[in-house]
Amino acid sequence: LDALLSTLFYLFAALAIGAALAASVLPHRVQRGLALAALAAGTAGCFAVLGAGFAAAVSGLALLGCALLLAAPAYRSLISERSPDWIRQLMGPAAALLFAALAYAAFRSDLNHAVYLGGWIGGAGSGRLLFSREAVAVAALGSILLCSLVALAVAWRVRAR
Amino acid sequence: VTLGLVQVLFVAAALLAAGAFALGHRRESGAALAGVPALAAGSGLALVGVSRFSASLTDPLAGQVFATVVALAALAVVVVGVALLGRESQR
Repeated sequence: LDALLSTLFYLFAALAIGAALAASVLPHRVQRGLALAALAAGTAGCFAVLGAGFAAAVSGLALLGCALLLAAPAYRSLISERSPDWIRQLMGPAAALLFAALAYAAFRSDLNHAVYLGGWIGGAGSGRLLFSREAVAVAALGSILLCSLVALAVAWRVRAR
Repeated sequence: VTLGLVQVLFVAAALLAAGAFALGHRRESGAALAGVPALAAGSGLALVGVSRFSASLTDPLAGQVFATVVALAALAVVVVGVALLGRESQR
């Protein structure tokens, strides 16, 4: 990619990584929701720079939906007492180790370099893949999403009574 | 630095690690759920990067489509999690 697109990608990547870290440490749900909205914007921007406009739109909307759900006052956060403190403290070094392993694998990877022929949006090609070849998988995912939305609506209705 | 697959995978690794950290470190269940979108964003970015830089000629958009599916699955997980939390908090 050229310099302008590379710079744009790094800006969106910095926004996404900062937002993900903020969402994992911020104490209040509204602050976490704002951080997740910034994560959605950064991720969609990265996807768009990489020529995946359709994936950017759908993923951005899905992550924005996650942000709205987690920022809304529809649930009360439960505090788990099951995991001891030392296990939770261990998750910091474990996440750093995970990042180091994945970064090393990325650095040492010897994947095929190919010429990209997908275009900037890729809506028609993605639609063909989603609704013809992968139609069963998309129908299954749609059913899961529908069932989870029905469960959410039922939970809210029961709570409102 | 010119953008390539290694740089994209680095960013994806950082997002995955941040999501895993949120899932494991936070004691509040709602705060732990905030790690799911970060995990989905990281895995989706890796898929889109592979699709952009090293996809085969026969199927150049498969990674992008799978990234879309991963984001929608993350939304479903968060919806179910919020519904369960709303139900548990009534008890």
